[in-house]
Order: sequence, then structure tokens, then C-alpha cells
Amino acid sequence: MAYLFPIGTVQNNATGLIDSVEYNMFEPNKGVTSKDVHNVLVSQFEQQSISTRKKANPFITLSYEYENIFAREYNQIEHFVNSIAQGGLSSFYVIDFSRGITPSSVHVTAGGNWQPALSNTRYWANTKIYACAYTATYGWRLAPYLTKTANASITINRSGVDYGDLTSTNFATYGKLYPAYEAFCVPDPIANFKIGPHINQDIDLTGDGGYTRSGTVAFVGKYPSV
Amino acid sequence: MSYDVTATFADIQTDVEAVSPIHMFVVNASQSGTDYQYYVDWNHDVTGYKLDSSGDLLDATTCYIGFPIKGDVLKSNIDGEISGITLVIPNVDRVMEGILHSQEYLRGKDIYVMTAFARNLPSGVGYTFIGTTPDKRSTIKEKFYIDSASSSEQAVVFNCKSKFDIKRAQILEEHLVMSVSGSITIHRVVCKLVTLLLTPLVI
Repeated sequence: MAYLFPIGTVQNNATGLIDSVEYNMFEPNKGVTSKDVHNVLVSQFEQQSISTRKKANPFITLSYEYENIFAREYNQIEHFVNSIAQGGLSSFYVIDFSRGITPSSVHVTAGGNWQPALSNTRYWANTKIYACAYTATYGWRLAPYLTKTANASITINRSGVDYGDLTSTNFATYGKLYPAYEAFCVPDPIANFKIGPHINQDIDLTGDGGYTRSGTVAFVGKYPSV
Repeated sequence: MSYDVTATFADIQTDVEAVSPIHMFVVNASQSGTDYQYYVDWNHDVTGYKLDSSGDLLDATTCYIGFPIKGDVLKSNIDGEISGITLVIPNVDRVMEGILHSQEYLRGKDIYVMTAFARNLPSGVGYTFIGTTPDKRSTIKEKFYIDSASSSEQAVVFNCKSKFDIKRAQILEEHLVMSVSGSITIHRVVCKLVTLLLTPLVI
């Protein structure tokens, strides 16, 4: 079982469940920023670094930025933060939409694993990092990364833990590959959301009614990212 | 068995950049034999070398659990004595506290404090392997003994002494006089008599 932000427990039909409520995937409409945080102890003389010591391995921080999202979308994020993330207590997978790569081709091995050809494979630094093949229209697929041929291709494990409904053909034609990191949200992550204009329509799982919201959800990686 | 730290350690030690020192702590959580608990002061689990029952590093590897462990810096004073150190291990799930209760607070048991450079740890596939040029003998290892331990909801604190301090434990005078060892008792009685006899002469 895997949890994916912001849909919950991922199903094979590319939807997610939070407390038995079915949610769909939606991307942060204002973008994603991510960066690797390095722990280096620097000894300085005046403005100059004269010696360096690495104190720990780099980890990733991600930020999902939303602007005027529908109330149903905000409610979905709120439901996820409360039930799955438990306000920062439990970890889940987050797709880093700022690190997408378009594969030049997708090879399917005899065992069924996918091998997208990538010109730069550095995002998959260790096997704790998942790969998410994503299209806006044809669904997505989240699966563990297994091995790679540096800067040529990576192998995605389709025979074990594997979620989503994207086909290899649609992936090769329309898809991009993103790294997905196991992460925590920072404590109280949605406190910064500001309210926007009210839309006078139905307020439910499909209606667009209610107050729009804008804000940022921040995440911190659980395992090394580099 | 003792060993000489390889020259690799000394070489890296003098580097001023691209250096990654790492501190590892191994607690023997058994009163009768060996039950090593491997910990590392790092932001994730790390694969390191195993210890045998004598405390020597083996080529075999094991997973050191990553924790924000706090340990004092090893020091020696002007008399050549090695100071004790305090080791603070987070009490996650009260695992360490459980070991303390079942093993008589681990009094007198050994703790190995090891310092190495990350590149000399075992290499391999997986995020726990952070080494690139494995060299188990590029590890500085100090052995300490647990003198006392205390635990709270947050952390387990070990006060550790070097073996020299443990051996120099002071025995109270009452215990000495009541000792069945006649020679010590007689020795102390003689000392007191000599003191009494000499006192008037000094005055």
C-alpha cells in the first residue's frame, strides 16, 4: 500500500482513497519547487571557505504551490493532511513535478518492466526514489525504480508494487517521467492558505463551488535524495 | 586484537575539502555474551562493519541505525587520564529503555565509539551504502564501559568511563576495615599507629 499526495491510498485505476472517499489526481497549478539540502560544515576565514566537512547526506525539500484552487481541491488536500499525513506524522509519496524528463522511447522488457530512455538519470540516485510516469490525459503509473544505465535508461519495476493505469504506449507518446520521493509534510502545512473569490456552484466531490484558496504545501524528504 | 589504523585515515584527515567524518556507536546489550546494537550519527541508516564477540571489526556488514546521537568529544587531561563521555541515544519506541530494564542498566557493559570517514565504509547498491573505497581498518575505535544510565521519554543517557577509571574505583574505608582480608586491615592499623607515634614528634 502506498500513499500519494494528494489522493491518498493509490488504486490501480489511478485514483486514491482517503477514508473510503475516492479522489482524483490534480497538479499544483502554480508549480512545484524542490531543492536538495546539503549539510556541510564550513570553516571560514573572513569571507573565504578554508575547509569543508560533510555532516550528513543531502535530503530534498519540495513545495507545492496552489493559486485559487476550487474548494473541493482544497478540501481534498485538507483531508489528506489530516487523515494520511496526520499533520506531518506519517510519510507518503510526493511527485516532484519540477523534475520531469521526456523519455525518447520506452522499452518493455520480457518480464514486463519498463525501461524509458533518458538522457539524464541523476534523479534516480537510490532505490528509495520511485518513478512516476505521468500524463495529464491518459493517467499515470507509480512504481519503484530498480536499476539504471547511467544517462541512458532506468528500469521501473512493473512486476511488484505498482499503481496506476497508464499504458506503455501512451507513456511513450504523451508521458513524462518524474521522480517521486517518500516525504513528510511540515507540521501544520495548510495554515498559510488564503481564501479567494466565492464560486456559486455545487460544493461536493465534483462541483466547483465554494471559496477558492491559494497557498503552499511544503514537504521534507525521508531518505537521501542524491 | 589491536590493529594499526591504515595510512588512508591519516591522509583523509589532513584534507581540507570533500571530507565526511562519521561517528558510530555500538552498545553491547547483553550481560552474558554479545548482543550488539549498532547506531550511527547520520540522517539515515548506514551500512557499516560488524563486530565480532571480541569487539574486532569484521568484513561482514550490518545496518547501523541512523539517529541524532550525541556523544562527548574524547579528551585526555594533563595527567594522561581519559575523561568519561556521555552518550545520548533517542528513546524511540522505548527500545533502548526496554534493553536497560531487562539487562540491569547495562552497568559495566561495553560501548564502542568509532570514528571513520564515510568513503571508507562498505560500498554497494542501496541508499544505506555511503562508502566508495571500503577499508575497515581506517576506523578509530575506542572502548568505553557503561558506568550509569538514565532514561526519560525523550532519550537514554549513558555515562561511560574508560576502563582505567572503572579499575580505579574507590573503596570506602568502612568496607576496607570490615574486609576479611587481614593484610589490608593490619596495614591500615599499622599506618594509623605510625601516624599516632609520629604526631608528637612533629609538634
